[in-house]
Amino acid sequence: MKAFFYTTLFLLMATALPAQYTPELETYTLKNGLKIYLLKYGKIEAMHIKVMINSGKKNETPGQQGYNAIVSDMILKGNKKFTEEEQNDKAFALGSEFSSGTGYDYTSVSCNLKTKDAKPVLEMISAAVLQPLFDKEKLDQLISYLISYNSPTKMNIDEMAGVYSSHVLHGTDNPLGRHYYNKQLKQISSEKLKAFHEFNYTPKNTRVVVCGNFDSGEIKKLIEEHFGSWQSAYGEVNGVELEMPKIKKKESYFINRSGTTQCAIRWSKIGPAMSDKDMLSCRIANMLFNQLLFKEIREKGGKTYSIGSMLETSKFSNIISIGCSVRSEVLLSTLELFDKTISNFSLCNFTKEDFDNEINKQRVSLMSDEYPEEVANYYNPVTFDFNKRKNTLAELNNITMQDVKKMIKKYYTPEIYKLVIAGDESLISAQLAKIQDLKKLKATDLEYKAGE
Amino acid sequence: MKKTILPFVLMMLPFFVAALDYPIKTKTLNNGLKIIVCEKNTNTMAEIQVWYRVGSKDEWDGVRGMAHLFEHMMFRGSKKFKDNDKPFKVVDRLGGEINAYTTFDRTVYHEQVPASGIETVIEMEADRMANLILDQTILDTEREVVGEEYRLGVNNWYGKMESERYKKLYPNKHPYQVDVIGNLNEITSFTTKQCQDFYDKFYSPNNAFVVITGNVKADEVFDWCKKYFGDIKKQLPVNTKKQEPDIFKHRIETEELFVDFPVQIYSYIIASPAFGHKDYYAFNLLSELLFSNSNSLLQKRIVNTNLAYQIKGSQYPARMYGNYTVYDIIMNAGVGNAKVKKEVQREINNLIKEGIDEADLSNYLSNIESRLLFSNYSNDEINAALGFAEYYYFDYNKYNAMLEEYKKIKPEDLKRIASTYFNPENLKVINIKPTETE
Repeated sequence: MKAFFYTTLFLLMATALPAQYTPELETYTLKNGLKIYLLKYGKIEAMHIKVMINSGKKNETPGQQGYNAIVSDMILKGNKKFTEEEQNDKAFALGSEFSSGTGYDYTSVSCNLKTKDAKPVLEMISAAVLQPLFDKEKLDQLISYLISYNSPTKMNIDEMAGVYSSHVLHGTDNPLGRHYYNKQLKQISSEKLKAFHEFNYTPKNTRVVVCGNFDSGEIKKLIEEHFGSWQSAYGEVNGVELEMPKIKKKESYFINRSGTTQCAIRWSKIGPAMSDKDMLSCRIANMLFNQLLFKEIREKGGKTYSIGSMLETSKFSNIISIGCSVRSEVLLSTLELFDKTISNFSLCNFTKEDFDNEINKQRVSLMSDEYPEEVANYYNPVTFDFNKRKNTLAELNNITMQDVKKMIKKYYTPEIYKLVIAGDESLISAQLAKIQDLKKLKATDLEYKAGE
Repeated sequence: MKKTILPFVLMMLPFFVAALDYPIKTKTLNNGLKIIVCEKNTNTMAEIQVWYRVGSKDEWDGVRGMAHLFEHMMFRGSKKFKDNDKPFKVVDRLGGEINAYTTFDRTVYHEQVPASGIETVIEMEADRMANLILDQTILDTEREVVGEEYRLGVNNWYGKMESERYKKLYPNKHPYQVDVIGNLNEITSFTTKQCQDFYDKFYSPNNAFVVITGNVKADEVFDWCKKYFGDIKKQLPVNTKKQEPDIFKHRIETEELFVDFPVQIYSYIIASPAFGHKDYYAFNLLSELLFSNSNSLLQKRIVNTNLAYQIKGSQYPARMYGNYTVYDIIMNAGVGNAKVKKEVQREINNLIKEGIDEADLSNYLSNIESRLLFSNYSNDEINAALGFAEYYYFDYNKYNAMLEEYKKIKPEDLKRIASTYFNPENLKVINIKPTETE
């Protein structure tokens, strides 16, 4: 069987690249500074439009926690041109419902559409991004829901472990370490959001990506029509510099969430930065680590339904984040098993076959994306350089086992991590007592103390 | 190895595609296994799905959760594909992805791999259909893993609420009486003997079919299927539909539930016609238009006007038996709710009296057409559509039947559907309240 797999590998390397992996890129800038990326490929008469604003959690000053998430929600709730209902009705009839989202680095508004619907869709998406109303009643409704859901006694344990991990990794002096909390949410107003929007949503701070099968001339005309007159007093405002987190030793934290029968566990380690030349080799190392975690902790250990290690894809958070949920009674044995597993992993006992498999998987996954949205996300111009991205396959072919071993030695060090456990203290107190130097966190720890 | 704990997260559209430009061919082996191949050569990949006509509806007391747990066991090794060559490893070496899902009605195994590796996964699927290894040590581990999956489902507040509510819905002996994940106390004590019985009862070539879409040639695929599946002699009675208790005559007794979650919810629970019933499509359409679309009538009436925060839920599209469709109207914290119930009732009364505008109906169809277009990008969605049609219609050619069925619906049909299914006799509202307030 092995001979067969190597033949497969060879055949794959020789296969012509699918069109969606190598789309034609045309990029240009409007007079107002808005950068446009046209990615053309495919035969289906369909496309994806994504407006990406270089404003994310990284840009939230103290007191602005949650602003990007709330703004991204509110821009779909009515604007100067269309009420929320008109927009929804029209988008629905076209089968082009909008979605919006935000992360550490940027916020995006996007939709899938039939190529022939580009005109009405671009009109609606530009109105949503450029001219939102921030209706007070709708905002109050959203804030009220967030306050109910955000309560530490109600939050899901996985989410809780994630929120508190960010907190202990970055600290409240760093926007990535600040989470919203009820007292702060209550101070958010339409006026504050309008000012935030005006400052961050500017042409120079935005990219428009159009991906799929379309006529470039026609799309350029429509983009000019709907985004060309966009003006702002502010320029490219979001070139923030944040300090990367550092982890020198093992630190353990616990946050109580009563009424849950599982514990969520999150280990965080330092990984390479997004722009680091190590990134791709580390990705292969991480895939090997995932294989081992799955085998030891799920398949053999039966501790959890799923465990995964992930490299964060933010310019300002070079974190390897490993997470799982386990039943309360096996918390300690899972922690011990994790330590043993990462120790073994750091010895680099993987085989040539393991290495070839992971390289192959990465290669296959690159070539299997086919939806315009997947291709647009892959070439995401806020985060990646197009040409570098296009060369990933060639880069992949140059990675050696030695490169990957170096990554493991450098980043997958045993006993150096920040550990956050979220669970019901009453069920696990005896186990928690055995964890050295465990620090207990409180809900109020998320509140920003200085300069509020 | 995902599963459908609760049906309401599934949307209807993924099970249908627009008219396909790719050739579709089929062949049935002597042992009854049908193979459907769609030659789509837009990338280098191919996907196989093996559909078994077994789901949690086929379980009995003592083995609630077996269909899903059994799905896990299918990944742990067969006579030829075991240890370092078990399914995960095989697909991993090919660079592909492997998974499966279990619903009330069916169990589906799927692998997406470079097309050059499709023969290997066909061989692997055939071996686990015929020669699965059921080892006690492995079962012990998988019971724990599924136990964790169960806990994962109930450790988020919405999942916990759904799980609590589910137990209050169905009449005794209904095939959907117990949720797919099963009962934890039973799962954690399953034996290899019970697993073997389940395998012997439901896993055979004539109780399954294979769908493959991707960069393949149908004739080659048929040859490989014949080579690997062709020798499987096992024949079982095909698992056909049985008589179920009538949910339209069943009364749900529960009026209120107190669950640990942040906000109040009104659950609208509607007895819904099974697949194959003449009202199936019209009911789906009307319930989407009323409750769950992004611009549904109630979205406009109570969410856009800030009376409620959100409407969650959609009908479960693949329902061999009549089931309950559930829509949750999630309140804003602290907002009085009596008005919400009144507004919902007013909208329903209006539907019964006035019906639906032609324009709303036409927008609904356009929306479906547009979304179906995107299914054509995906091997997985094409396989799902072909599989769905083969499973429920026994005819893969009906993969785009939904759109045709919807086009036949007239506004006056919807008035009848509204008065039949959304009347107080058939529609139950459960008031779900937080156990504590802050």
